[in-house]
Amino acid sequence: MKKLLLLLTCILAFFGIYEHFCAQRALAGNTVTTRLLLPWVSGSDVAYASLLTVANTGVDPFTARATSGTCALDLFYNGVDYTGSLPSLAPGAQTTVQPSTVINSFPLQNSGQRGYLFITCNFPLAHAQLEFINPAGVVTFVPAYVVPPNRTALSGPEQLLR
Amino acid sequence: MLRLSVSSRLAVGLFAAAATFAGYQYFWATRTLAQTTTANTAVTIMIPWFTGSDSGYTSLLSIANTSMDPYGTPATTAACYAWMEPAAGGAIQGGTIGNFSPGTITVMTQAQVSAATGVTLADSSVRATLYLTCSGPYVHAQWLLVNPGGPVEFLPGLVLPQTRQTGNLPEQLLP
Repeated sequence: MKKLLLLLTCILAFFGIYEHFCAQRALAGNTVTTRLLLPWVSGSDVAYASLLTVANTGVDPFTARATSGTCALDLFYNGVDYTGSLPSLAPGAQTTVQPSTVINSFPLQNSGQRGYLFITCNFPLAHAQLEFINPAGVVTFVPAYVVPPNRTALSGPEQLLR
Repeated sequence: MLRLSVSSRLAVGLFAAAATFAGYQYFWATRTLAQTTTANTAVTIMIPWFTGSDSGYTSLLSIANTSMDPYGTPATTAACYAWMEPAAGGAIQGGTIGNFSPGTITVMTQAQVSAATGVTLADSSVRATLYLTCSGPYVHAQWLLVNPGGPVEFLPGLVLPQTRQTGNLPEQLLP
């Protein structure tokens, strides 16, 4: 009887610890990575230009989670994934770059060619936007959507902010 | 009354504690799973401002099928249906606007969207609310307005909750 109880105890404890471990991993996965989607990135020419800004907003007046990190880039154009990366971003810092300088074999030759861009940052609270430079210097902004961490089992809409 | 030795009581106590802990973990794991694995099979997008075109302004609709991504999402073609509700009132009308391949962005003219829905927008002062329903859950859309001189304005589409009728989620940029 005692042996049986101890055996059952060991089995239950194992499953309890296993589930606790998995829950912690899932929680960590939700908080350390930020996935962003820019639905419009174009090439540049004499009339129009695209600039990409990514901000590490880990410094704030509320509950800051100041973590430095880098971002991976995946530009999709005509069904092909063009990869790239951004240099490390310190908490509170922003970087503005021309997409053609950070994406390998940048395929968008002019402003008439466009793709969408996934930005995967290994720190929380990243945000991004595209600055579209129009003729005469007029700037318009395309904000990035925040992608849920479990996109393949979508639990909610992908919105501009979460 | 059953008399147990110290070691037996200890075993029973450990068993009860482990069972409670495991049950607690199982309860929360089940609840979390229920909240995160309801896969959407379609998406509905609202563009609250969609105008006609004229010599000064050009109205365009951009549709991106983002099911091709770096996260392992299945890349699937999406079929989209559009409805337009004229701002001046009248019946909402809709029609099929096409199939959209994964990994691509398609730009449609306002005239093409109007032809599909049957709602005419005479010029840039006439506007409507545009709804899109697509068979793939990873479609995004935005309205593009090309202003005089060429500046382009972007208006991102709002992704609507699946349960809009029940009003249990806000429809805004913050879900």
